[in-house]
Amino acid sequence: MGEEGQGLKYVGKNLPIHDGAAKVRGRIKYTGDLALEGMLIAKLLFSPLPHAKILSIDAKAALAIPGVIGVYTHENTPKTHYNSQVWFDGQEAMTLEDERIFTDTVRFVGDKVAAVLAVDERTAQEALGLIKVEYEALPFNVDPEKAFDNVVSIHPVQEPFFTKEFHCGNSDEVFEQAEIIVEDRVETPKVHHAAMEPHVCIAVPDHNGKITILTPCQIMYSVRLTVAKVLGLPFNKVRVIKTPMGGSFGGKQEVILEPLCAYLAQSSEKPVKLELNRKECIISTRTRTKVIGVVKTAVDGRGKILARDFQVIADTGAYTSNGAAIVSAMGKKLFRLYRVDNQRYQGRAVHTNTTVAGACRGYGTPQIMAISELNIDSTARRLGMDPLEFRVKNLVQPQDSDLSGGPSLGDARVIECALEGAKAFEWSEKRAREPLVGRYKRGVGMACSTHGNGYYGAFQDFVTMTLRMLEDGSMILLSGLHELGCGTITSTKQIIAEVMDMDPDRIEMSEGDTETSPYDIGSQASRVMHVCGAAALKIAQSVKGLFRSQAAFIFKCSPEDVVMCDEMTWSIKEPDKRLTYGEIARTVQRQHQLELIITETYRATDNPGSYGANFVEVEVDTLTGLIKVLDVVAAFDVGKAINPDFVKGQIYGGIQMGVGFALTEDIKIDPLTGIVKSDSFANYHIVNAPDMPPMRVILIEKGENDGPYGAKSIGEIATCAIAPAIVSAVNHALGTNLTVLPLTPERILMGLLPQKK
Amino acid sequence: MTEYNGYSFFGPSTLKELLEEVALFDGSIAFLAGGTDLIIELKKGKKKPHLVIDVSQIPELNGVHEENGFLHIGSATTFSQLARHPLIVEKGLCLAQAARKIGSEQIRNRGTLGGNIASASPAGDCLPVLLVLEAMITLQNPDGVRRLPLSQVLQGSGRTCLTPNELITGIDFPVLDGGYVSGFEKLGSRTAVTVAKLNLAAVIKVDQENHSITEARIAVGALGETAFRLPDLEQNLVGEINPFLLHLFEDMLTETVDNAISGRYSHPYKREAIRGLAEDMFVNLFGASSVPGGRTHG
Repeated sequence: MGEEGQGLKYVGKNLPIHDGAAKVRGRIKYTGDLALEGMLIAKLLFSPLPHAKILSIDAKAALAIPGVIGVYTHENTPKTHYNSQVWFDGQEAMTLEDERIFTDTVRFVGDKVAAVLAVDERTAQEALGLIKVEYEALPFNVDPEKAFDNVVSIHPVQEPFFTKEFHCGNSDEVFEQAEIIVEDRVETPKVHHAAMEPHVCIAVPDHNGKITILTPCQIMYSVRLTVAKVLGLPFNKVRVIKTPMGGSFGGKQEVILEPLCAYLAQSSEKPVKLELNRKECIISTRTRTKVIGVVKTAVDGRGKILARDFQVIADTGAYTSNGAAIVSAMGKKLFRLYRVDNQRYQGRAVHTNTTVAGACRGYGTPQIMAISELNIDSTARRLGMDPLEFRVKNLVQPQDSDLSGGPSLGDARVIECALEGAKAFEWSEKRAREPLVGRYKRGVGMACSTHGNGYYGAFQDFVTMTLRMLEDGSMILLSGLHELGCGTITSTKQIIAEVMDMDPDRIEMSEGDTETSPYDIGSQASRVMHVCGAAALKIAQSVKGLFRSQAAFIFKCSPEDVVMCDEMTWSIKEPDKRLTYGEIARTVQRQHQLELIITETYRATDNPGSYGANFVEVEVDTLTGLIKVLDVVAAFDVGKAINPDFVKGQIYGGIQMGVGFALTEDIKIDPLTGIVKSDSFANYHIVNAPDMPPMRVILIEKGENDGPYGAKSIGEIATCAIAPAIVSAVNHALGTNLTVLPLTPERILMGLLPQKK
Repeated sequence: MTEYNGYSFFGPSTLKELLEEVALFDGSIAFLAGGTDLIIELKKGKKKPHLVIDVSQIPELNGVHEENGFLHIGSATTFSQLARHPLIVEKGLCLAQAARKIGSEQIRNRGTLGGNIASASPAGDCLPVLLVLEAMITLQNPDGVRRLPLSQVLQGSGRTCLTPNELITGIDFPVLDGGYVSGFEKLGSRTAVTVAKLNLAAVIKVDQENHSITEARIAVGALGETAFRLPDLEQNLVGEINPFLLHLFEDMLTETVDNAISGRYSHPYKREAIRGLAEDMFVNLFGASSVPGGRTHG
């Protein structure tokens, strides 16, 4: 979808991000930087035990400290149950509501026990230490596989609490007859999002019973929904304003702090700030879901996949959160990457007494791709086939259908990604190289991935926008966009500027505010550029149509004769009589008493796959187990890059997260105590600059979908193929079949022990 | 003196001023050098001193000089200074190498050698180095001066022999002349900004003519509460340099790990990984040709 014919002026260009300079200069006020008059500070007390009944809470000493306004626990806060991932009214049916502001039974180390509300942070912190809690310890379980025994009961449900099956063909029959079956068990860790900005929000009550919440969120209407529910307020008494985002990666997609913060503001009748520190973010907010998958692939001797079977366990932690949704999301991806006529996926979700899992960049795709791709790799190995050749033989092709019944894959160009990437990487040459002798081993590996473009085919996916032209020709877009730092605002300006033929800087865009923005589903499901971008394109075309018809009146010509170029407009019949856009807008107001403004709802009409293939070279130190990623080539089918530098930025960042997922990042939980051992950046290692490899990006831009100018998503898929590609390269280097992530030095050396003996 | 966050703060510009204040002050004192550990402890409330004294602006505690065959280092000298100081690079190279591998650029710009000793981390990177340099540590309080070997200063994880009103003022060690080579190697979980899982320091005296080692000093860190020397290993290294030396070095280091941390979770990994450090150390001290197959690492 796009403007017909002519070359593009703004789309496809590398404009800088609209607030980048302000961020670099420290001019942006993040939520944590805000101080409102009379604002109180809340601090949280977290459970030290993985599972316990709270017998009593003695807050007398805390309350006696001057400056302490109140202590809040399960005894004096709403008992309303909710699920933090619910984002539209009516979604409750598919998920368990098992969270409360404060619980009377703690279910993981880091569960919220109490809050102190005080005049400043120091007072709150001091009071926190004086709260005495008496617990009755309960049996606990941190192992998702053991959850199936149902020995430890975390919630009044049987584990697994959710099972989802997708299938096509008849895999059982094929497996019975197949000669070659390759099976693997793959494990992926709980991971911290590691956004620079911690979780934070501010709630402000007004004199009319309305609560305004300032929060760096991804889905403001989800915040509104849950806060209104917990506080018992009508929706129009909860105003959510999306503040500048200091990093989310899905970590701020769910409603975590807002209900409590809003309640404290309502109860104290004062503005309240609630901000977590790093340790609190790691142990008590959300993590990437830990997943264990057993996968079987049946192939014929020539490398055609006959059938696949996936048995997957998702560990959602102590509360349900998105445990059901992610199990479904993972399964769907498997029917959109390889042509497999007979395939079954069975995913099951369980609770454990660990930090709650939730949305995290890729929403299960990095996990399921690790499971799938590592098994594709070992299947190729069993066949003695080059893993690239094996993949190309089986990958989906443009316009293939989703055999599980999902939307068409669209112009799926994963084979092109694989072949172009392989060429740039010099895959065949590197693969054929003689192995190094001695301490350091080198290997190359690859992996592919797909991810979606919105909710079309699963949920409602629509967006309403209002676009207006002001009397000086500048424009304002009113929408519920949530800029997460990816370039949403600038890219959307580029699209509107392209349609209107005007400088993108002359277009202003506010972000989400539930009181003034039209409805938007939020920044989730990799939908923003494909769906909201298309909405922006459509509405710009509508405003352009209105503009032309009005200009036609003024020029006394037909609308088709109106030319618009760089904020100047004229009739093709009278090229010398030129007016600015502003002159048209003013004249229209004066003569026709009309504003150039349109409000429109756009409904998504497709959900093609985005695709990627990543190639990696690694060097493994066989004595210390340390791995160095030497080279990465990342090829992605993004349809069209509205702003190629933003797209590359997403890919670089996605690779950085994926290297950590593959090699270092792991929220380690002590099985004896349930305590998170890696609770700071001193012992939870994200990959830093010295360990980042050079990265080469290849973009396949063939459009052919309903996104704006053919744009498809990149933000999430960017991190979905890199980890299995790295693990595959390590296995190639060492001749191992390591499948438990992350590949820590310890796991490498233990994996090499059989060879050493 | 300014009241600051629950404790008083004092920033003297001479050691005399500092000692006078210490003598007069009635209450607990924390000495602030780079603050890379202390500030965090203060913020977390792990330490609650009545008075914080900043030692970083005292010229006597800063810098490196050579005197009578010894290198003298002020306790508040930063890792960044040590890493590139010509005297350290020439006559105590292993210390420069350790200083380069500590923390991040920002940590190295703030963190000090005295602080590394006072923090007494089991993984402190300069500690095995100071052991093999046979460094003496000068401690002062208003009552006087003590000069002790590092092994006596370090008493355990986070524990030293310092009395509550005592601070480290200087570090000294005999210069390594041309007959010596020295080195430091570290293994963390990533290339930079990492706490050592293992660290290893060596000072070796080589008799080039007879192709032999006449003196060896080896120390390891992160294998117990404090870094320690390996006297048996040192003796075994003395003698003619032969092709089996590296293997002996590796085996004895593995044995050291076995003796130090058997039964610990990290034991199986460290007993293998220390062999990598041993190889790195040989390359560092004797060049790439000293390990089998040379060094293929890019």
